[in-house]
Amino acid sequence: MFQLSAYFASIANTAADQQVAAIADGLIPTRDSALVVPADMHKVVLLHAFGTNLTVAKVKPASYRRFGDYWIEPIANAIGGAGATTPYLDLTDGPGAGAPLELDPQEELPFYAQQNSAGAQNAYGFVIFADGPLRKREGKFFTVRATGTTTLVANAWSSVSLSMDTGLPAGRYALVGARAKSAGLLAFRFIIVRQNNRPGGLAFQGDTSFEPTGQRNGGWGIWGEFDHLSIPTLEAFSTSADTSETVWFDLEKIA
Amino acid sequence: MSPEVQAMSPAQRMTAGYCPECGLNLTGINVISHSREHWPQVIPDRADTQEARVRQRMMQNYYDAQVAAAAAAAAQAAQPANPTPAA
Repeated sequence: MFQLSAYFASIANTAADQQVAAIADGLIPTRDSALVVPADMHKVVLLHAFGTNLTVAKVKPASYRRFGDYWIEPIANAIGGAGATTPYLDLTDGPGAGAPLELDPQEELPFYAQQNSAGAQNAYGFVIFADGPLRKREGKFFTVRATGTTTLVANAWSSVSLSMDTGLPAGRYALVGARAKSAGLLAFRFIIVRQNNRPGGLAFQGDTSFEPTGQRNGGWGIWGEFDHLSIPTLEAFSTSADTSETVWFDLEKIA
Repeated sequence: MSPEVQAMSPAQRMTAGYCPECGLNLTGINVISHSREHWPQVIPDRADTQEARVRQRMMQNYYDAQVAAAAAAAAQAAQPANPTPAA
């Protein structure tokens, strides 16, 4: 079980840490502009910081304060283009990845950043909470495409109803990975019927970039389950008010 | 997308020859084909898709203007440069 949540703020150009405010999440409470670590998902398995002139990104959970700030490196100054991956800190415990960051349940997780542009600039942070390391699932997977035409609200979560290119055969499906794209998309997650977490990943603005390791085809295990009439709703976080969204669902038919 | 194009409104992008959705320079691009990369041919008629329909219509109008301009240029080229006056 995992969930992606977001931080966003326009921060000034100074050589001091500035807090990037947690985005109201719908499921996870916020306090003091920070996300409150969910009691049932108190491990962090992925951290991502983006800003065009971002120089520093950190989280400062109270349980780590005596060790100093927790630095997020690498950071991203651009969304990965052709043949590239957007930089992120991988703590999924997968091949080549670090172990999850263990936080105290219900402590605040504040996000801080610095940038060196000429003036104020937008800074973005994304975190994936999980109940443990993301374990790979193997099975007979397939990928289907769905599209949305909802106008997104820039720099906030926007819900998007998706239409499958072709309807799924009647039955029940496990979501085992996904990729999402729109003109300014940074991250996405899904609202799945009867599920109290919103799994998601890093998004793309073109067709030629790579997603984080494990984000597709079972690499992060099962994201959720749904039937053919209850397609997950996309929640998109974009830098711009896009009007066309594309999602590729990696699925496994389970019933 | 360059910061200059990103700062433009969708209508300004279209006027300047860029895709109103993603900011792609449309020079030498089939505009209708590119439009299909963003939106289905028929966009669901809901309040939250109004802007998508507006942008799709911009692309259609841009394409229509391109076709009209090309037809006018072809007609112009077919005319003799200095037609001989009738005797």
